[in-house]
Amino acid sequence: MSSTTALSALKGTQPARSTHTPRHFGAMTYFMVRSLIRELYSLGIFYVIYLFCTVAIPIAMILAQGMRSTGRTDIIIPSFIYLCVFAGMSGTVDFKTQVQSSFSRLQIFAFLAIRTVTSSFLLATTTLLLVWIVPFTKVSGAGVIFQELGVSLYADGGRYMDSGNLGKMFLVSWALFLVAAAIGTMAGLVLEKLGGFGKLVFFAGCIAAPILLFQLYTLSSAKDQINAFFLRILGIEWPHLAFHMWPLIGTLVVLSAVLLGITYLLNRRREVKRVNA
Amino acid sequence: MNFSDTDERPLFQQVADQIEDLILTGAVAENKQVPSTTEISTTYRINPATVLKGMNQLVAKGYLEKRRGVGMFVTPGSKQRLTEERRQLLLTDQITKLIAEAKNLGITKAQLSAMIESNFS
Amino acid sequence: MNLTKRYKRKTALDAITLTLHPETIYALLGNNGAGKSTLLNIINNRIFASEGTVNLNGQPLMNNSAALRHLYMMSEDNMFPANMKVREIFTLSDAAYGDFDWDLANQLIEDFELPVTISFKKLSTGYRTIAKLVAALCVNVDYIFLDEPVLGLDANHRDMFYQRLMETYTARPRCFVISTHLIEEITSLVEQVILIEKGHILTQTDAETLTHAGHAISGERGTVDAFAASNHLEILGERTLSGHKTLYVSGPLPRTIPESLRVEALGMQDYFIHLTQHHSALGRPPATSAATATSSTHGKVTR
Repeated sequence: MSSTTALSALKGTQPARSTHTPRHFGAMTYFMVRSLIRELYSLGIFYVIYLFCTVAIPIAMILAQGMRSTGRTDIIIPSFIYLCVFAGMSGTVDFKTQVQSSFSRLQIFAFLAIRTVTSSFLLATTTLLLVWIVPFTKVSGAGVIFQELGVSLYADGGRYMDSGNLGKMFLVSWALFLVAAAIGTMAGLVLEKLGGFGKLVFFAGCIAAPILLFQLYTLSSAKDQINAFFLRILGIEWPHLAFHMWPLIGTLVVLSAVLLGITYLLNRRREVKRVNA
Repeated sequence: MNFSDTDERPLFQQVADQIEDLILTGAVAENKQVPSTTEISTTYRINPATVLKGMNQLVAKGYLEKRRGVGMFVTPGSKQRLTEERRQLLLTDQITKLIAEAKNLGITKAQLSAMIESNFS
Repeated sequence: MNLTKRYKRKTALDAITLTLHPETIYALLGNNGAGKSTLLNIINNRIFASEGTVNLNGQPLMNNSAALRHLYMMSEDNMFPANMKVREIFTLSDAAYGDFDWDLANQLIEDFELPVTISFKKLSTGYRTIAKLVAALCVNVDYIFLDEPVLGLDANHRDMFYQRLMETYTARPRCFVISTHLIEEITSLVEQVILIEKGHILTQTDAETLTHAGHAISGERGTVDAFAASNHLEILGERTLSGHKTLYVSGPLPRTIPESLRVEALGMQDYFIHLTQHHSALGRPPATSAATATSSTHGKVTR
């Protein structure tokens, strides 16, 4: 008997453990839960800061001045920025651990895509709750009454979304936050890929691109068509400022899909970088 | 047992030699089981393939026999045959070397014989 | 697999072809910068090859999660978030690969007195290595790659690790590829050795062959030189003290050696040292290797 075959026999004496027994919970679920906890945590911080700036400071000022006043504020833009930053920062933290957990790049992308959808959904939900709850919150005694926290869209468009319009508001803000999360996730991957100089070029590009595009626009001979196109995809009917929800949502969803497509390409051959090299 | 990787003998040969020693010294009697590949492997941190190669050499020489599902056993008569083999080795190989070295160092036949005489008793 | 990895300025791996057999322990040896980690990182999908593919049982491994589930790599690089608790690392490994060997894990935790309720970042370098080792040994996969598995471990802990490695290997044979600089300590543990130098595979052979591939021959200068010349031995290095000379040679020795010469096997570590020093002294790429056989392919599952 040759030693090779004998060794095979030896090796065969111990059956390998089965790879098919059910798992306690999937690793994907694990990362989703981790991500959700992280989001709730950062969301808490965000709302503390937000409410401090939009409620506590105005109340203090009103109290100091001793008069009645109505405060109006916006919640969409701060939320949008918050989600961009959150998605950008947290988009890269799980990558190495996921690679260590035998995730393929496709699974990692799936995680990022699902997280983009869920984090924007969560933020839209909390925004909705806030807009819904605040009208019932009356801060009396001090003479300050918060009747409504309305959300306005487009400066001149008046109050499209407010407490009387929650369903539509939810959909539009979800679509907006979807874009925010997709921008953040994509930017996170770009910045991860780039070195110091590359990051500089990326930021310079981000600043320069809108300026150049606007210059192109002013030089363009087809201004009217461009105007019409943008008004159309934004769902605004010129000149009487009627707003249509679905074109805007469509635009935002398409934009998110494009951003996620870029994310997919960035993620496809994404390499683990050594931190302590 | 003790193993060294700078020994001129390959590791599997060291394994075989030391199992032979177990049989020769009577540490493992005939018809008794020698330590398993796994035991030797984990005790001395030697790759099981290496241990098995050494064991198989002894199986080929007929000192060990494999009993399916149980392990390796010392075959009857092994101790006797091993003693004989070692004896031959000493008388042919090692004595020849000793004499050659003695000649090199200028030790006479009489001196060597006297040394053996006095130490043998 | 046939792999090339190029970076902007250098080629880290140059057309490497390698087959790993299941249930075999390999040592992956090479000096710093030889390409060991690059090779392991490519196999484990941490980075990607510029050219070439890695296959598992004929299936490409790249981005193939079903196949990747059979591989696990433990590296110096920390792959876990700093705030992750040690036990959480094991729970996650269980979730990702299934059938985590909790019995062994608990035994190892006890052996090494590894604290499991604190976060990973609070562990010392040695204990981080231990935590990662526990995950690597207990995870249910067929190919385990250990890059510097004893980094920061004291002599006792290293000894304990080698012991447990052999126990778990004999209990359930898997393919282990161990990359380490402490060659002497793993010589008897491994079955096969892969020597890698400057992005090339210098040799892939069984440990036994490599341990006895080199010899130190010492004696009177003239006798030593004459012996080496008449037997056409490849000289890797030499040391002379007065009239006494020691030659480090590669290749098989004749059966009969003059009585006046002292011959010792170099052992794996010293052979490796003399071989690589010899190559760097020659300044030649080690593509045409002096050392022995290439890998043979059994009818087994190969990669």
